[in-house]
Amino acid sequence: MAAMARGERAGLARLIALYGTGIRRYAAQMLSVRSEAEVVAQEVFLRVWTRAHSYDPDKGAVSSWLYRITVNLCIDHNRRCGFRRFVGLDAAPEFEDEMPGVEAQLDGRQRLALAHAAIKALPARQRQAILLKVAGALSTVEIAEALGTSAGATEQLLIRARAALRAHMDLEDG
Amino acid sequence: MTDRQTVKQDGSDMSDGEFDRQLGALLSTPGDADTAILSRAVLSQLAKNSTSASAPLGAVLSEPLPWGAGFLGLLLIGGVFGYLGSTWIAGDGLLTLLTLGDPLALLGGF
Repeated sequence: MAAMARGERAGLARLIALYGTGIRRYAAQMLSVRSEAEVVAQEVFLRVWTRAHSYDPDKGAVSSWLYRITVNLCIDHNRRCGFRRFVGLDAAPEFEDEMPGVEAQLDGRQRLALAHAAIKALPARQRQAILLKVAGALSTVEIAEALGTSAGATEQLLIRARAALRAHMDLEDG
Repeated sequence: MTDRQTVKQDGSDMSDGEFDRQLGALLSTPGDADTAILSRAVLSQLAKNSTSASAPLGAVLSEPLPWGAGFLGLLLIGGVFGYLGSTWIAGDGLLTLLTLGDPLALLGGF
């Protein structure tokens, strides 16, 4: 972060190598239009570059700061897309195979569809918490910092999210 | 061990860490760990932004006429306001002419 604040682009490249994958995975699950994940990930790192000087290590880890920006950008992006769809500027969200049909008999595809449907059915806060955990591989404290809550509240969100996901997957399995 | 059957059958017994790991593996797609494209796209954007930031300075040299006309316009406006202001404050009397005469004489006037 210090290197980035000094204007060294190598610092940004290192940050992308470290967190790019997780941020893209998180965005892909949080966005209503999954294919926009790459665009949002780019936006995250451009914002990190312009605000590198404002990062305060005393307020939390770099990962928390990065994911906090990601969480907010995803919310903004969904809101913008929703409005654009409402006024007819954008097409409806991509078709997602939430109910595995004949074509989704293939196990891998079915599993993925189940997981997506289960995650999508979670309340927003639980979805954010569990995705920061599984996609971003953040610790509970880091998630709490990213979401602006306490570690205890985050643990509760994670427990509820896991329980809901397990129940959803068991139910779908019949 | 990352298939749905494992999640279903062992779901209740599975530890949270194992559940998270399996879910993470399920959500990952082949090739999404490659950050080279993302890195290239971000750095290209930065390069493009820094180029466009310095563009207005270059425009003064490449297109001097509009910029020159703008400055001339501002000078004229300033002149008009200055003239109106000076007559409104001091009037058209001899004292005003004497007051303005000294600095104008330095510039070659009067």
